[in-house]
This record gives sequence, structure tokens and C-alpha cells, in this order.
Amino acid sequence: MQIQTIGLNHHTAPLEIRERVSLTPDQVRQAYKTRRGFARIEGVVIVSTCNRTELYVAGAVALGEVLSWWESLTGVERADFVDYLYWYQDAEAYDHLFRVASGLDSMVLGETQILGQVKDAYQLADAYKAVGPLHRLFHYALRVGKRAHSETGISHNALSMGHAVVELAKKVFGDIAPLTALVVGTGDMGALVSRHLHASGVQKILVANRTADNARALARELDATIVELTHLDEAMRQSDIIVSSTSAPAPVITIPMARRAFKGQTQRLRFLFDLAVPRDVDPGVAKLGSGIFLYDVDDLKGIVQANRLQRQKEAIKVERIIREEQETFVEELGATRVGPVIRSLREKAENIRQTELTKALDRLPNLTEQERAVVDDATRLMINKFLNDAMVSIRSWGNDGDKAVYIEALRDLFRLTEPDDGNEQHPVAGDVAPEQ
Amino acid sequence: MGQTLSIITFFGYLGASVFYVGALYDGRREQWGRWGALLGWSAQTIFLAHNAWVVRGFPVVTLYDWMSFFVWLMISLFLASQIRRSYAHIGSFLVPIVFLLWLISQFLAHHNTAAGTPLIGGWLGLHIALATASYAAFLLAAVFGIMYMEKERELKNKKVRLFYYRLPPLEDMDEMGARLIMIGVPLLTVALYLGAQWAKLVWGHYWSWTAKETWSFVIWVVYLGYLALRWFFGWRGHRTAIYAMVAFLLVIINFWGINLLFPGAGSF
Repeated sequence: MQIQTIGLNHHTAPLEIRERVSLTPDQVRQAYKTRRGFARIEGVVIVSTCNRTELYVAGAVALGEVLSWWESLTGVERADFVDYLYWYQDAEAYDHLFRVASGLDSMVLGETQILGQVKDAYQLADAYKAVGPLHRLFHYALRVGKRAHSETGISHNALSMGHAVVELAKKVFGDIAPLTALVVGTGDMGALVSRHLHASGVQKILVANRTADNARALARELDATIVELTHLDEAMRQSDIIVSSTSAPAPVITIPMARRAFKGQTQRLRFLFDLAVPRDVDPGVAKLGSGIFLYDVDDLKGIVQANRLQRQKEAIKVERIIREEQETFVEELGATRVGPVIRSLREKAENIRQTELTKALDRLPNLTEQERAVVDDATRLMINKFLNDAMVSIRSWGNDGDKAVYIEALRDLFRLTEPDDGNEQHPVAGDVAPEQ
Repeated sequence: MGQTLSIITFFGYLGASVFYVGALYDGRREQWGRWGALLGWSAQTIFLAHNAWVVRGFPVVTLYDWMSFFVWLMISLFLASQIRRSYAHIGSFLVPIVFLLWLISQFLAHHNTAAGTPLIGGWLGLHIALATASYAAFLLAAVFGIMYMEKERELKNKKVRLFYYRLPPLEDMDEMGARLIMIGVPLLTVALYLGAQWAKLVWGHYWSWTAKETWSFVIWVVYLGYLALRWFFGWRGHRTAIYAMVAFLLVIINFWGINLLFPGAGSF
């Protein structure tokens, strides 16, 4: 059985192409309904997200057929998108799907959303009984994704400024829920970081802004308290996390002000994030106490950069998992390919043996129980020894696409009937827990 | 049998040290470290149990015994604490230190400083055990101090590398260090009290200001000082981390220097 992947993603195609050929859930449903028109498609799963549209197809289907199908679904002529496509077959196709599921192929390396999307795509296809022989492949892919996230740190460590602020705060304080955060300046950046802090469970958020309207809207959204800029030092005194991102031309938090605010508490852990350019916090504030940490935009970028490197290191571990799973998958696939022919060959030999054995024993009525057993053993050993080399060879054909024709030859040669394995029972990937 | 067990202990703890340090770079080595620690610990447990059986009592007579027992206690505590996985990386700091202590105890064994008194009573055993437990708590507090300083250094320099990614949050480490000292101080207090009672029983006076006694008293005051500074003067984080490290240096001087320089009563 041939498995191929035809698709495009953010690496190969610009957005204006991706949006034209992507398939909405309804179109995907439509696709599953119309797939019967293509007799040679044994199974299909369509993964379509904003960054990729991919068709996983099982069966001896020509690329042209798949493309016409895609054309008919989207109404976009193939000439418009064929240059952006990739086309993977068999081992390359498995590898690609495993990389997609584990987040290695994503725009944000190691993101976890794609695993859920692959799972949804698989379940939708399953609902239309379209998966066919792809069941095992997707089962493996979901397992690769799950293992990547649980066994490696591929999805750990923040890659955006907002997340990095929360991450740093957690590195210092641990549990940030009981803390107080002060946000000075409620422009885009301030609002973004406030939302991140709020979403991470920080219960008490204070906001201060030059224009009260802006602050009021944000305060309502996040259940925060508004602080007058004139009382900034008092608010600073109460706060553990201080984020400043105003557009003021001169520092908003000066050394004398910080000294006043932190008087007698210079050892208390405090994290100041200065996200403004020009800077809002006088760099000297960091030297006021051993408990004070001050990070500006460049420092945060440095953290994000270090995190990216960290994820890249973890990606190597994910690659290892992919290789492992791919090996087992290929082995299993090989076994399912040659399993039926091995079984029929054995059955045929055993049937012959039984028939001839019964005849022979009928003609030798005087044999003792022990003698009958010897004859039985001898015939069985003969058959086994004779077939042994053949079995070893046949098993090795399983993982070798070029030798698929040998299996057919073997069937012809021994006139083996097709065992009834046309409808293989595949369990739905039930042992893969749902994503949180 | 004793020698075989010591060799197993050596390789167990050596392996544990190497793998736990390695675990900072690749978390998968951690379980190897744990197996190594468990192997060394099992061998040492048998060894100590055997000694206890031979002397029919608490198996601590010489300084060497005591250090070996201390190491055993540390590893026991560490392995027990492994139930909470978030503190697994203590091992990267603690296990090598403890392994070093164990090695030194093995060299001391050849000196065979049999300074112990034959008068091992129940109270004396308790005195030793409590003092040991308090030192164990102080060592752990110092290890948290080291970890705190390492992580703080990376955060302050804004060059995040290993410790930023691997170690627990600063505040948690600060809190753990303080809690350990809070446990250690009462233990040491009771140990000193029992020691004084025993001294009265054996030598006729509670306290005789020997080098050892004086130094133990200093240690007690120093750790009491830690708690006072934390509770009443708002000391936190950086300063308490350094304090815990320096204070433990005093403990080391206590059982190294004093025991070897002034071999008198109470030599462990």
C-alpha cells in the first residue's frame, strides 16, 4: 500500500496562496463524501490549518488525480498552486506527518496546538469512515506528538515577549497568583502583558496611565485597580511585578522615586520590566537592592533567543523519538503486508500435512500411541524446516517496497487464496489521551 | 564483606554524582543517578546495619563512623525527597558534595581515630542522632543557598543558561532554606541539652567549655542569628543564601578542624 502526502505550508507558500487553497471544515466534509469518485483512494485524511493544507492519501492514486480533486474542492486551478506544493511518499510521508504532529514543522517551533489539529482532522476523517489504511499512521503520529511534549522540553520556554515576562516572574517567584502586579502605561504592550499576567492567575493588578480612559477600559477587562500616576511610588511599594511601557521621553521611574518606594524592603524580591523605548526605568534602579531585578526590551529579547536555542536543542530529542516511532511503524507495516501471505502459506502446508497424515495413519492401524506421535512430529518438523528459510525471506520483504511484487509472485506460485483481510479492524487511537 | 560493600557504595555514589551533574544537561540521566544513589545507599545501609548488629547499638563510635552515618542520612533524606520531582536538581549539587564527604570519611577510617568513649548510652545515641539530623538540615539549607546564588547570578547577568532552566524559583529556594534551618535549630537545641545532661552524668558538670562545646555553641548562636535576622530584620534571598553557606562552613570546621586538632571528649 502506498501512502503519500500532498500539501503546502508556511515554509513553501505565501499566505495569499495558502488562504485560497485551504479547505474549511465543510469543504473537508464535502471531500470525504466525494472521495468515492476516485476508486483507488483507499484512505484519506485532510489536515487544514491556517499554516498548512495537507492531504494524506493511501492507495495507488496518481498525483494528477489528487490535484484534480483538490481543484474541484476549492475551485482554484492547479497551475496557481502547484509550484508551492510538496509531495512525499511512504517513509518521507510518515516522517513529515510525525514532524507536523510534534510541532517541529510549525512556525513557532514546538507549539502544541497543531497536535490537537491533527487529532481533530483524523477524527473528522474517521467520522466519515475515510481513514482506511491510514489509521495506524495517525495513531503513531498522535503518539509521537504526545511523547514529544511529555518527554522533551520542545514546548517549554516562552518565545514571545508577553510569555517571557510571565516566565521570568515564575522563575523568581514560583507561584505568581498571590502577587501584586503594577502596569504603568496601558498602550498595546502594557495591555498585552497585563492580559498575560491576568491569564497566568495574578490576582491583584494595578494599572496606571496618563489618560485615565485607556486605563479604565483595561481595568474593567482585567478586574484591576486604577492608580494615579502621582501615587506611583505607593503602588510600587505594594507590587512584586512592575511593568512599564509608556511613551514618555524621560524615565518614569527614577532612582529617588524607587529609593522612596522600596525603602526598607530592598531585599524583597521585585521584578521590574521596562518595555519602553526610550526606557522608562532608570537603569540605576537595579542597583538599589539585591532583591531587585530589572529587565529591558533587549534583555527580554535575549531570553527569548536563549529559549529558542533551548527548544532547538530539544528538537534533537524529538527527532530521536520520531526515528524510533518510524522504525516501529515501518516494521509493523511490513508485518501487516507479509502477514497474510505467511499465514496462507502455513495454512496450506498444514492442511496438506493433516490430510496426508490422516491417510497414512489409517493405513497403519497397529501403531502405538507413541509411534503415532513420532510420525506426527516428523511430518511437522519436515514442513517447518522446509518453510523456515522461506519465512525469513518473506518477512524481510515486508519493509522493502521493491519486493512487493514477490509477494504477488508467491501467491501465484502456490495458488494461495486471498485471506479475508480486506476489512482490517483498526482500533481508533483510543490510547492517546485527549489534548488539554 | 565490609570491603565489598564499601566498593559498591563507592561506585554507587560516584555514578550518582556523575549522572546527577549530567542531569542538568539532559534530564534523562537523572534516573541513572537515582539508581546509582540507591545502589550506594543500599550497600551502606547493609554496612551500617551490620555494624549496629556487631556493637549491639548505635553504630557510631569514631569520627569516620559519624561521617559515614551523616552521608547515609543525607542520601536517605534526598531519596525520600525525590517523591517531589520539582526538587530533583538538588541532586546535582548535593550528591557530589555528599560523595566527597563519604570519600574523606573513608580516608579517615585508616587513621582509625577510635576516640569514642565506651560509655555509649541511650541518651548519647539520641544526642548524636539529633545533632546529625540538624547538621543534615543545615547542609541542605547551604545547598539551597548555593543553588539560589547560581540562579540569581544568571538572572542578574541576564545570560540565562543551565540554572535558569533547571533550578526551582528563587523564592521557593529561599523559603526551603529557611524552613530547613527552622527545623535544624530546635534539633540542635535538644541535642545540646542532651549532650549537657550526658556530660553531667559522666563528667559531673554540664558544660566545660572545651573547644568542641564552644564551637557547637557558636554554631547554635549563628543559626539562631539566621532566624532572628530573617524574622526581625527582613533578611531575605541573597543575604540569607550567603549566610546559610557561610554558616555551614562553621559546621564543617566544627567536625573537621576541632575533632582532628583537639581530640577530646564529644569528638563527633
